[in-house]
Amino acid sequence: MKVKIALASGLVLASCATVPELAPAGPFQADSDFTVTLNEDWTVFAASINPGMDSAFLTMDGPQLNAVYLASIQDGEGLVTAEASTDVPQFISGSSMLEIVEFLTASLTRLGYSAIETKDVRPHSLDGVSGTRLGLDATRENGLSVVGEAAFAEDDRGLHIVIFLAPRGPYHTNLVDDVDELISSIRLNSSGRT
Amino acid sequence: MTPTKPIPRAIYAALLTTGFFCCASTDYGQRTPGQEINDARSTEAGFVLQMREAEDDLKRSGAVNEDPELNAYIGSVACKVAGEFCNELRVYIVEIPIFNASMAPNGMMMVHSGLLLRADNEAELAFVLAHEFGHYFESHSIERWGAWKNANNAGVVLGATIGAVGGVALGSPGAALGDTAYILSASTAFSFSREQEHEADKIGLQIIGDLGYSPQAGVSIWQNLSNEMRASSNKSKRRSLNKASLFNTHPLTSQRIASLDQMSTQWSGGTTRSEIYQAAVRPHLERWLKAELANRDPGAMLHLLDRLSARGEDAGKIEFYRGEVYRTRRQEGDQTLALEAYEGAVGFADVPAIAWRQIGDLSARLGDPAKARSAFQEYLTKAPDAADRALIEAMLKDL
Repeated sequence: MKVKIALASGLVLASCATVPELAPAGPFQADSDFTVTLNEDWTVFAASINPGMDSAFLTMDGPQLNAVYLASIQDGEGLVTAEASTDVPQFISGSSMLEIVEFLTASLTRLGYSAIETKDVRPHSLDGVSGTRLGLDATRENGLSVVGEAAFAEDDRGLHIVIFLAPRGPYHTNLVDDVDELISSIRLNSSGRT
Repeated sequence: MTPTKPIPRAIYAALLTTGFFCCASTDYGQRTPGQEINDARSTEAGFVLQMREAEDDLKRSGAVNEDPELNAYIGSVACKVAGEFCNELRVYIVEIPIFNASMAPNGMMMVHSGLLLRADNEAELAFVLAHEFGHYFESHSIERWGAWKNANNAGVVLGATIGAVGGVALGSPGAALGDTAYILSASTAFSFSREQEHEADKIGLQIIGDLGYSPQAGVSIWQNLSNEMRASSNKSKRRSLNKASLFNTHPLTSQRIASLDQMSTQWSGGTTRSEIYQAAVRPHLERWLKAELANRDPGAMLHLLDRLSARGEDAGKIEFYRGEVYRTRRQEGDQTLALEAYEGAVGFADVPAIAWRQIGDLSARLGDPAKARSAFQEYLTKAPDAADRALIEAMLKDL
């Protein structure tokens, strides 16, 4: 299935220099400063072909059906692509966990999501670095209800983020365990450890 | 005003197709109540058909406020100004923190939450809706559409625009900014002419004057918006005062305000129905202020908060958002200003519980763990089911 998505997407984007690729099961690193371990094959869209966000994302069933965004950003950078960084929410190093949650939801708002609600915001370490994990409810611009999870931690390399979003229903529930394991598998690049 | 956050593309399409067509060269005349389109292949029919599609997109967008009481109230004001055309209206309150309203030739009227937040009273709202109704009554958008169609293959342009909007539902949510840029560039090609705006102003004033509203409402709402733009932290917004507002649809020149002032002398007295209006919008104030914060324009928002504060109501919410503006502005000394604003806010009964959380978070960072602890505990008492309870409890342990 993942191969088909990668091939189909590749055909659609044949004129582009970069196309979605297969991300085989095993250790995986996209454009972030961390590695995750995939239990099975996914399709990865590199940051260069993610039109709204400056991050790569993995998908199992297609970008509209589930997406796991993986990003590492530095002080003053945003998650959302924009001509001027001041136009979009920016991550400010040293922000409190509460402010980083706010940064994530503001970024999703900037991407066009509405009615964003966080759930079960709780402490959660990524590879031993103190961070936060939370659930998300939101509405896409087309009115579709989406749910998801996010996890983040900050170290001296910046903010490391995973965001999983999928329409409410099987395309979300079928991946909950996989995303849990993916988040648990995060290994921050050694030079970024504090 | 220049939008500073992406507007849902469905709404952009509706905006584009409702009111951004200028340089009319085809006179479609004034509408009559119940007027129907006889020629299904006419310019008007094609335009209206595409508007219906845009309206369907809007309804699905998730941006429409469905609160029955607010809709009943705003709908009643719109109906009042539309008079015998009332049955042709379908009013949508759209949750967009930008001052705007529009009315399409198929009867779809959109009222932005950013307008409702800024209007001081029912008379001001009635003026804006009457102005938009004026465009509808005079068939301005169809005239513009016809002129464009004559000059260009505009059907392709509009079709492409709606196609882009349709892509919202199908495309990656991440495509929002790209489409915003596209639509913004497209929008520069469409606007009502100054003459059409003047005509709509005259109709708007005539309607509200005849309905017994204060004719000064037209002056006050534009003057307030003009002052807010002048206070903006965004240079392009300030510069636009000398040009025009959102998509050139509503030129905000001093001449226009002066013209409205001069025209308003035809009536005297009139009511504003401030209390009724503010009671209707009050339940939505906090959400609209939160959305406004996302516009990332501290200068404009502080000016707006000062104006709202002068009404003498909702002090807890207003002062809380003043604190939010300072905290997110992040200039030197802003943490202290934010803390002062939050601490002022919690003295009022209508303060959101989250103000206590913000006091706790800021106090912790400013080196006052005792105050932070007390504020976090107060927050959890006031919001026992808070989504971030576990995180706050962990922060309390670390203090």
